[in-house]
Amino acid sequence: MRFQAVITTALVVVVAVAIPGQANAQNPPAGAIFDLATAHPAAFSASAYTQFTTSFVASATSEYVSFAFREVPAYFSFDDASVTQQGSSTNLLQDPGFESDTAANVGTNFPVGWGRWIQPVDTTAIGVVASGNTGDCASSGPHTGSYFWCDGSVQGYDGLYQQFNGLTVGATYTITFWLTDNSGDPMSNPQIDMLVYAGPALPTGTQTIGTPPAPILVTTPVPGTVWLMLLGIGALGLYLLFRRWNAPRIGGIKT
Amino acid sequence: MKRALTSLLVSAILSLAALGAVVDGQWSAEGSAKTAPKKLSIHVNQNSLSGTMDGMAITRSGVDGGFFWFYVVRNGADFLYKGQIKGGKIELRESGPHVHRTLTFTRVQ
Repeated sequence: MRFQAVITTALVVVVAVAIPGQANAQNPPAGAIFDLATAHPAAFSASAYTQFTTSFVASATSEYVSFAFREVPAYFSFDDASVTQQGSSTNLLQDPGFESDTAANVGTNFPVGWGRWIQPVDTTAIGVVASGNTGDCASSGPHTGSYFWCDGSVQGYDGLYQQFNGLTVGATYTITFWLTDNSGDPMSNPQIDMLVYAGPALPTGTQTIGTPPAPILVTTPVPGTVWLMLLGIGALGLYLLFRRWNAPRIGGIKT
Repeated sequence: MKRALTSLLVSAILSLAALGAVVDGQWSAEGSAKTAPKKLSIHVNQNSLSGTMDGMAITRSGVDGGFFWFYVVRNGADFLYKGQIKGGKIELRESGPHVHRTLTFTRVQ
């Protein structure tokens, strides 16, 4: 009994000493709807992208969708994302594959059409626009096209986001993206992890950097039944016009 | 029970000391790339590092789990190094202006 008490006390001391040693282990913001370390705990092959899917139900007409990264030993490559309303194939994201970027903004932190946030501790080594098989993500390159996002944030998490206005409250929105990692190590929260957030505000404790892009105004997709009704009304209008044109004339005047 | 608790305590103590003990010391770069750093002297202080690379002091740094990172100013530019121990050697990812490569350092005996 005395032995157990001694060992337990020693363990408590060890843990107490260990915790300050982990002070740099920056935890991600709370509230993620997707955690890579859970969805894909195994290591990636750098040259092989994997597609991931998650979803959220809009709780407000205006919401933010964020993709967050932290990669202490190496770099994530991220490309070809989408946000679609269930039942529609329209991608609501602006420049989802980073192809509006140019050689001029490769290596910068600001991809065209995307907003950026960081955790305040994260002052260096945040993600950059990448191109082809060059830079820190050379071993992966883009998933498709020429440009992609390369992120090896070391101090805290940094995020890419877009804001949508005009969402349908209660509707389900599907998020997909392609991702790979060149560390060769298994995913581990918080050192090597990628998370997705969706909500009426940006994740708690983050701060935006640069000039945020204008929110995207979402137009509600017209359901198939409405299209059929419009088609029917159009056909009826044409028929009535045809009848009127071919109606018998009295004194040269159409009846 | 005794044995389980003892091994738990021993492994906890070992893992605590592990990164510092393994990383601390003098390291020499493998290979002969002209522009690559050659010598690394490094010391783990809980959650940060101190030391030099080719005589240039480590500026900012961090230790997180089994990984560490640090900055060194080389030729007037900030270079980021991301490291971990693999097979008894330090594998360092070097990232600086127009330089993105992986370097391997072996311990100097």
